[in-house]
Amino acid sequence: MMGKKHYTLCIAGNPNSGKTTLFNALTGAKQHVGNWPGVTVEKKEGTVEFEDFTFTLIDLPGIYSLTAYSLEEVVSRDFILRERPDLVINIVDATNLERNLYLTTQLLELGVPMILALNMMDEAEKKGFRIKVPQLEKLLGIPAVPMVASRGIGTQDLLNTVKKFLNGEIQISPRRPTYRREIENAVKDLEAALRTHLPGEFQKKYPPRWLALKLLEQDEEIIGKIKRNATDSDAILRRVDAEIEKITSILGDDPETLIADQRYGFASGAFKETVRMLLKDRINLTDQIDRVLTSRILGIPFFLLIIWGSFQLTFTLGNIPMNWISDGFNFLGTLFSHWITIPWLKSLVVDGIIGGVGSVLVFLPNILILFLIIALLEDTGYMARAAFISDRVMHFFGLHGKSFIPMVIGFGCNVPAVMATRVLENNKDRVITILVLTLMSCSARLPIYVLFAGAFFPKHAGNVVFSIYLLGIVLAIVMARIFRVVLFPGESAPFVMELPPYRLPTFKGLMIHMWDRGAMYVQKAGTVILAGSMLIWFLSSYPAHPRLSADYARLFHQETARHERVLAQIAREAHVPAGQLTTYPPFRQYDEAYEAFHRRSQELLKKQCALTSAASVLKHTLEGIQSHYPNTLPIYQAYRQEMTRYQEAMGRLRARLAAEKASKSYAGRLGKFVAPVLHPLGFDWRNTIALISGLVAKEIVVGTMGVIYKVGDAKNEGEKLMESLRKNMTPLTAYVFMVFSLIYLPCIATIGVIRRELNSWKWTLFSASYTTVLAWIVSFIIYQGGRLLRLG
Amino acid sequence: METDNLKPLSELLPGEKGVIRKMRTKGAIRRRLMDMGFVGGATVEFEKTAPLGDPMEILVKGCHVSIRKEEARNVLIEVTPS
Repeated sequence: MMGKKHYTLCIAGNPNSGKTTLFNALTGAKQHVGNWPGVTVEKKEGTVEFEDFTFTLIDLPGIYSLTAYSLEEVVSRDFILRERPDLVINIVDATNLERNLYLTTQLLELGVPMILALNMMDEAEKKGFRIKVPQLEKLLGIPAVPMVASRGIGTQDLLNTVKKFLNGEIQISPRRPTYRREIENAVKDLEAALRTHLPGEFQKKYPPRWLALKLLEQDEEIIGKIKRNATDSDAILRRVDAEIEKITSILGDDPETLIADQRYGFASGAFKETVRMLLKDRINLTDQIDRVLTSRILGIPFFLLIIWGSFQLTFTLGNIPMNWISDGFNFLGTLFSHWITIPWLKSLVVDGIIGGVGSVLVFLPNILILFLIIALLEDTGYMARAAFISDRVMHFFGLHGKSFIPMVIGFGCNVPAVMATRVLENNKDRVITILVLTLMSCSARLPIYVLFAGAFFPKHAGNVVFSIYLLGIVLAIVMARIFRVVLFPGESAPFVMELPPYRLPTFKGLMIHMWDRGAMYVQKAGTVILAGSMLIWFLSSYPAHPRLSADYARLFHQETARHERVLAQIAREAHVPAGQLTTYPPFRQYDEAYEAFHRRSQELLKKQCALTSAASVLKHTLEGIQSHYPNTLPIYQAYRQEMTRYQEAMGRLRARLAAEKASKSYAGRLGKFVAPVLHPLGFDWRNTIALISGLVAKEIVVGTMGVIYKVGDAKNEGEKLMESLRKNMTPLTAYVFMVFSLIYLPCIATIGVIRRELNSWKWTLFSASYTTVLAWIVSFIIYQGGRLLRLG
Repeated sequence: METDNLKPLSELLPGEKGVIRKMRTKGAIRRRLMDMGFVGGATVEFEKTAPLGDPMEILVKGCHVSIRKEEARNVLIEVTPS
């Protein structure tokens, strides 16, 4: 370890050039993913050990250019200029060299040491390209290393070249394009002005010639930098405008276009002088696959099939480990509730911590599978085709073709859906997609609809639930269009997108991608979700000892005392010591006989047979027992009746206690406090508490309803809950409740992920509040409209 | 008129080729188009439209690029006779 030399390298290149594949090949598992400071652009960093070197390797985002078009481009050029890595590795797709060299040209202009990694040489050879590497090196002034990153070919050569440069064995002096005389003159003038008006520190980072070119290109970000850093910046910018006008009048085009043209000229010059085509117009695999996958007739069916398949895999396959995890946490909960005897600590550990952690981890299988599928779709190249096919529809809604997949995933669970919006490059598209995708009714909301539709619209349950889903879709469309106009006015992001060749993804790449996402979800979203769950747990279980309307301990005690008196009486009649009724032989035999009868009649009912045979068996058995123990049957029946009565009474008491505690907890008080706001929607305080508890996860709404409506722990809980709902609500309020549940604030997990993905509390709070306001407005219209039509 | 023999990219027929002569866009869209290879003098070929009729798939500088018709309308092409 001693004496290892430490250097920083970075990889820059176009999307689909194999950038991440090279990064994975060099770093292996020694990498971590984070964000660039202040922006949501992903930053990948890893370490490479090579001979006596340790390299820190940065994977810059995939970019086509170094303008200020996207955050990715700004982040990349700022990193190279400000952090000054010891060497830039520019990876290019050898099958697509001409377009890839456009970025190379711009990187050369930064004047930093650079190596060209010529990737996918095997495919290029197959396509008939013959690349004269030494010639290319001479034209660009930088070393070039042919490689096949996906098979690890050439990576050692690359590291050797890096070593030679760092040891001073080779020199690198990047060549850069020269522009037409008029532009060069303007650049020289501006360069001189910048040298006198910019602080030396700034010039060390940003070369004045490059700044001058960027000013002529009207790069807004650089103009901003000049305004902030240069003395007399107004004069400089006036001069820039004058130069632009002059060039435009002489050459008939603005400098931005002329500069881009000449960069392409430089790139295609280098391409033409070094690449020879042996075969021409050979039909390639990508064209053949696309003849099916994006064809007019089969394109849409295949697209729907792939989306459907992804959805099924994520949620059907994902539900299996999901159930294991939730069973595991239930088991842990039971275990701890036996170990811990202090009530508040037990509640904290079991309901707060184990419940909270469980609610985070339960989504993990879905997220892992989903991101494996997304990585597969992206790395094969299908994702771009999916956007190509669905853009027509999504554009109509004010969205982007790539918004389609996250929206569909939203029907399963909003959490992975929000994370899936990473495929969208443009931030506006991402924000709008995230804002509206919570209106896609996730599977956790389904139990609410099932309960209410079952209780109030048993004959039309399917249609009613469908209408709720449809309402969500319609609202998403309407809101997307509104957001596009109100939040992001002006021109929409262009849909100029590369359709990359189909390629086989690498196993390693897929695994790393899946693992990164899973770890990110657990680390970052986990903290917010856990904190939120604990807060809701605290609100709904404290104060632990509220002032109650009755002395429940005494009521429990009274009932138990009564029960014991009755049992003692029965024991006396049966001539048995009081504690031994359960083991009294005839009672046990009667129990068995009734149980056997019960089992048998269930079987017969299933086969839709009459119960007469089972009844006669029972009668016969009972007579047999009575012949051994005369006169015991009436006593046994009294005993059974008492046991049932006791259990029911205790259950009712416990339910009443739970309901009263719930209504007097902080959450309950909050519910009563907020209730007046929801009154115009036809909701009472009980509905309000249920909705508040739904913030943790919407499936909890149903459980809370059970607690508040004092259902207790009877066997036919669902039926009883429906009954008490029917007593307390009208079909209209029930429908409005479903509508509200659909629209209002998504669960805490979704909020946590939105916060993480948009890296902005502003948008997170906006998402939370607009959904709730929208829920109120839509519910109000339906409820009051329904009342006018006398539906209530 | 300079546009006499020029035709918007959006109106090419499938399989038709041409050379870009003029771009009528400004700002971000223009910059993006240039980054993807849509510059004066570049040869383009219209491959096909998406199943729903928009966007279109264009071959430019050896790359397949998807572009909406409303964006392609502002790229003017001199059609190469086949």
